[in-house]
Amino acid sequence: MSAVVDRFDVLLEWASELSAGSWSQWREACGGVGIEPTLAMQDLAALGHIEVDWTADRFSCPPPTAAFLHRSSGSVLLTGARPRGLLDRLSAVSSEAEDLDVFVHEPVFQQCGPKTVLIEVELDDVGDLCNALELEYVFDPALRIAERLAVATLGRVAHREDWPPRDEIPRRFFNPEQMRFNSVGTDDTCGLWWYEGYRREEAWIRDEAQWWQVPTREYAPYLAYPNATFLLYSPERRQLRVPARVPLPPLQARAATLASGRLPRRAASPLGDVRFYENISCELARRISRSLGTPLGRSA
Amino acid sequence: MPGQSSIIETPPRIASTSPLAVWEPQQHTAPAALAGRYENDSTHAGRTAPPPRMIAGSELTLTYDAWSAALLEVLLPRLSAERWGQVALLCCDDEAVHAAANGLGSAANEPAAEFGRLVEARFHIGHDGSPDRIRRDTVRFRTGEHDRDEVPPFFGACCAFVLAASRMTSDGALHTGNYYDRLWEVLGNRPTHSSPYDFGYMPYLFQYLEEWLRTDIDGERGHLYVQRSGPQHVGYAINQCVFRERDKERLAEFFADRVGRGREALDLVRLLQVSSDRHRLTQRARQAIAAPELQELARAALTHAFETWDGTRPDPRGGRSWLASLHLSVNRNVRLTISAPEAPEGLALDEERVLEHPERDRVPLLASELCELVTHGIRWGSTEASGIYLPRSGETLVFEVREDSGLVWVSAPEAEHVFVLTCDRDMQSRLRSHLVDINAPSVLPEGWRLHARVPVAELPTGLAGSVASRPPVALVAGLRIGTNRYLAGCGPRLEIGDVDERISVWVDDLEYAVLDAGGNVQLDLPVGEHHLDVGSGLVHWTLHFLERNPARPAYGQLVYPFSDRGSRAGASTRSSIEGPTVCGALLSEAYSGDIPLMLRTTNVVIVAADGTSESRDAPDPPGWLAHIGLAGSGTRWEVEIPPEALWALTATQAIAIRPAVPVAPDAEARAAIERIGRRPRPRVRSLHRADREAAFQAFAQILAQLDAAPS
Repeated sequence: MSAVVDRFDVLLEWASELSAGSWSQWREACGGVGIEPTLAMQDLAALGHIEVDWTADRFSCPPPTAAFLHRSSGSVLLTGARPRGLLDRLSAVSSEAEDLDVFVHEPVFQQCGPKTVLIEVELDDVGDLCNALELEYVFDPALRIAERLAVATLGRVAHREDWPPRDEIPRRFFNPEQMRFNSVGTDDTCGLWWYEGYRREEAWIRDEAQWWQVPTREYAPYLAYPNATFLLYSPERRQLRVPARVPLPPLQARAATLASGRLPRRAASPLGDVRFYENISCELARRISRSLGTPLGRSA
Repeated sequence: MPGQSSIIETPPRIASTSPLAVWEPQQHTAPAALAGRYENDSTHAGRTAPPPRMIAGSELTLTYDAWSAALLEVLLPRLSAERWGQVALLCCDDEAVHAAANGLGSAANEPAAEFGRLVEARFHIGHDGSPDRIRRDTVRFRTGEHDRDEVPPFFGACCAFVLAASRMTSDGALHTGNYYDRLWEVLGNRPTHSSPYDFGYMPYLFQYLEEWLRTDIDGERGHLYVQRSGPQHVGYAINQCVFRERDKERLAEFFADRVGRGREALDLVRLLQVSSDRHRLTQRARQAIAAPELQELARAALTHAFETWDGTRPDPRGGRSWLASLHLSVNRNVRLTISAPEAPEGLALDEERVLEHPERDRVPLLASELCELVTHGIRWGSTEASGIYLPRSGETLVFEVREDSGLVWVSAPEAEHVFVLTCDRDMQSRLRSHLVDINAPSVLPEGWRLHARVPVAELPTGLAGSVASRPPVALVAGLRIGTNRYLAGCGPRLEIGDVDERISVWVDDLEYAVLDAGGNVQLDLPVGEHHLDVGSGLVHWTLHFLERNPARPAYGQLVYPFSDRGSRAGASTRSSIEGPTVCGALLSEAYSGDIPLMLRTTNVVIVAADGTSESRDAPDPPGWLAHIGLAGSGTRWEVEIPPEALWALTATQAIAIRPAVPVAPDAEARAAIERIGRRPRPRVRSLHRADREAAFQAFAQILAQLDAAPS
């Protein structure tokens, strides 16, 4: 097992030892290891390592889990909590348990998350492996999560409001053609507005009749501009391309991330940064786009 | 104040000049809580207090005894059992007298004056220039029987003596004349003759008080620390008062600047010793915190001062000022406004600007005032009257958003993104990628720029938190899993703030580091319990470094529902959610679909129940696996199994999907079966190890069938 310890690995190990904690604890720990706390929380949630209750400002770790991934050489992804010593026990089990057909790949570094641990295991042996390491087991979480996503509508994911936030709160308007935020427009301009918030900006949608506040702001661009093609899919590469300024909502992001166990690869484009989710089946891409009520374009 | 029904309606007045003179507020009845605090209160005789007595004109009166009892509760309150006998001082000052007056329900405008006149009325100390008339009551108390809880008759007089000392100026410790002037002021009376005065009895009174606290009531209110040095006789009172009125203002600033954050383990005396704030204290206070023999005394007084500190900071410009807030609005155009919600209604800031409704009013900050704020800070309002103020800002102002009030100027930002208004060229250059193009730049003075949504991490250290704004000593960062408990290998960093001397850090009685102001050291300690001493007693911590968290709660407390609630609020506690959920990758609903067949070979022949076969080649390894360096020649692939499939045949093994015999294997199927059958020990297995024996038997039957009917 690699001796190189990444700061995201340290953060995950700490969170796993704590099991559950507050936002302030998370923020303090992130500060201690030099990590931006909000993005880290979103990314670790997408990887299945933590769950976040944003309204109560709390997080908790799911149990250590082996998740089977399609098109992974028959590997299970180690997700959920990763308490201290778990990787050492995994090494010991893989090398000592002769009756188990298990191979633990060298953990793979990623830029903004803990290392990816993939365990190639004979599916007949997964149960014994999980028992030995006290892991939960889940089959193909990516598609199974996506299958359960309801189609997002304003009524489902937003609150109707008669008035926008106070005028003193700084705001920006989102232009979907330019994929940019700018300060033009007035209160009456229909579309997506972001108002400055304590942790991050908050999404408000102005339609002809009223304002809608979207607590999970990632839904907002898709709901405000349902005809815009934000998501592009390449069946040849099995990649889903998502603009960084229009990120996927949490469960959609988790479904896309758990297809490979990897955070999306970031790349630059003329209209701003984009993210590529890997190992996405056509079915998974379709279900994600359908859950957002947004068209799925074809990537070159 | 007509119309109110409390005992405090009318300022009390002295009813007579006899030793038992009483106050006579214009009140006919007394609240039950005040029973026993009025004239003819007989608790001092060890009996239950009768109801307040109606005296001439049906008036009730506060007594010297009531004041004594109230002051005792304020100055020397009963301690919890484990703190009995701790060192105590009789820190009687105007604040304490105010607190006692509140406890008594007195509404006197000048409670200290009322109290002093009552002491004088009883013992004629000012009149005589001597406390000798206390002697008779003292002897009677000390020689006669009295209830355990009865307050000594000399207690109130001792309080008055110390109250006078608290009003002394800085040099008072050396000049007893200074003390006597303050005492006569407290008592509202002065001797007709000039000094010398006979205060030879004063030391006895403090010794008797010390004895009563220690012996009669077993230290339950602490042990009085009686220091016998200093000016003759009155030194006993002066020594009770380590900090004078002037010191209180300085200490308020000291508490606000240095102690407010992270008081829990700090030794206040040591903190004063290493802080520059000590230079601004009176000579008496400096002497007390510097001299080793007075440390105990200073510690008790400082702790008392901190515990009674109301959290405010005195206004350096005179009068009382409220700290204002500076707001920045950026929508449409840039505006700076000030507010002070706690200021009194109708407060005039200048000839034009008035806070009519302070809780909601905002008044504009003029462009010229922004420049003034940079160097001096600003106070609005008449001198020596109520006002509001903003402290000096420096050339860069950081604003963070508050949900209720928008962007507010802060000294130490907590948000992750901030707005920065600055006239500092270097800062403007540093933050140029966040520059806001202001439509009407004239709203800001020449040279000012606004930068929006600046990540706090991009701010220079001085803005994110300067050494001067740091706590004097703090443990920062580290991966904490409980109070003073850290994961081993992820210990905290010890940071030193603005201190005057080098700070030594000892771990487990061994010197670990010596740090200057602003210095820090990483605490990488082995697993176990460690004792830290920082700054020779400034702070002492016991830290635990743990390999694992011994009290880790169960995993999976939060789950994410697949419902509208989840779409709006994210995960919640498991008990509050109904319906299907996901916890990380783990779904609440069990999987009941097919499990794929994983193969490492390059080709497989699938044989259906009717004997037809289909050959499949392995696809190229998934691109994403190659991308992370895990794809190779041994990459397994998933074989999609049609519903009618019975066998999957590779070059070396037969895998029974359903252990049955196909009706009439086609040529490709026969070839594949025979290739395996010719092996010395044919490898036969069943999919997912189900019914392996049946697989063997079925394959044997297939071979027998083929032997019986060769192609």
